[in-house]
Amino acid sequence: MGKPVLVVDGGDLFGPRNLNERHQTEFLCGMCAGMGLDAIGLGEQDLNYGLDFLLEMIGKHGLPFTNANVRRISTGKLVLPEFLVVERGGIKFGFVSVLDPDLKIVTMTTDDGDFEILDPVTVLRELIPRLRTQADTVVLLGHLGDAKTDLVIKEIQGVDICVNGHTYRNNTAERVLNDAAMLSASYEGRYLGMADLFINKSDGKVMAVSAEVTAMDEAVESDQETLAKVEAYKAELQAFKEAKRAAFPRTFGSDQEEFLGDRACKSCHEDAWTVYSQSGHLQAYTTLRMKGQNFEPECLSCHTTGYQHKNGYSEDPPNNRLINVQCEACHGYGTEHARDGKWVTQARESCVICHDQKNSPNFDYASYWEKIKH
Amino acid sequence: MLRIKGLTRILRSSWVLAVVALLVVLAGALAQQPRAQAESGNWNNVLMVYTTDVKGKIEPCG
Repeated sequence: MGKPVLVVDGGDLFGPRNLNERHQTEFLCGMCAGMGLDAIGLGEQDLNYGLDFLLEMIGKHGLPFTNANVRRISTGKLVLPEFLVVERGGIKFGFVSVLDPDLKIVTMTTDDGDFEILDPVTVLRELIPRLRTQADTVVLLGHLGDAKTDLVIKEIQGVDICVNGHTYRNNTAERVLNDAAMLSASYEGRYLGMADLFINKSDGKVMAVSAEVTAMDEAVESDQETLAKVEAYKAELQAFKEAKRAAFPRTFGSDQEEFLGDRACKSCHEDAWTVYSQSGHLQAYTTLRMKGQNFEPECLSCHTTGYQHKNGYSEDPPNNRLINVQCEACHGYGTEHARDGKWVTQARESCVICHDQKNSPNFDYASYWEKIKH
Repeated sequence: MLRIKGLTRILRSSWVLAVVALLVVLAGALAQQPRAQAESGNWNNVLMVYTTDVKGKIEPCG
């Protein structure tokens, strides 16, 4: 195009909390390194894999993350550079990013309780005048959502451009609020925004802006080199998943037998089913999903029914119904239903397969049995 | 004394027309300023490409 270009992101670049997505995020970071990003705001999901992972990606791929209002409680320090100044086309752009304090930072590490999100208005009121001494034009990467972005912009002075994050909205027409050009292009890479900025040389003010949001659909031709890298990565990810699954092979049981599911047991064993329905066993899969571990074979082997058995739990229907520690997880295939009492012994002996020293160090049969006695 | 019928109305209309004419001239002058500034090169043109909430995606869903 012949004119200077800036490339920025409003935050939540990273994926959801599970190891497969973490693996993919690493690949994405590598790809971003080649795209020449100039500034990336911090979203709450960018800490999904912990601060150490974020800092590793920044160091390894030169990702220009910035944030002014998230700090570690243990050190009292901001987790990222407070702002970035990037010169382009003879203008010094000062990038500052803030995160909504009402968003929860949840990680796959033990970091969770060590983050504090400061009030964005207080932070920006102090920071922007300071930033003005180094930058001509101030750009806010606000990971605040639509309503809070507007509230913050109305409360502070000195923002020339605002890129809105934590949103599904696209601003397809130019919008100005409190002298700030409001830009938005979201999400999951479905849309890309381009703003043609005309900036006054003498004071850094945006004199005019022409914004356009483009849908990144089939009408947009893929870059063949990038596409080849993505396809190669997908094969690598599949191999990664299969290697994890291979560590927990489906070797037990028989192809001739089936797990019938807990509803089948309920028809004859109503009292036992009632106890089960009130126990932690029925929440086992939900517990994994809350932590983003519901794709991990190591976890699924105990939080589902028959993961390592033939015709046991699978991500695909119909055996995706075998989530949680159902009756048959301990008692075995419903089609083999023993009526001579040996199922009781078999179930009792199965407890320690999952309630092992690593995952259940406080396990004691007598006290744990009281919680599920039936 | 010669009285011209509707003189007051004529005079009022003329006053209004004069004000409108003045405003048009002023508006024209103001509209020329950015062009004048542009022609004088007082601005820089930069293209900013932006996105948000990519959420780890590397290809479209579906």
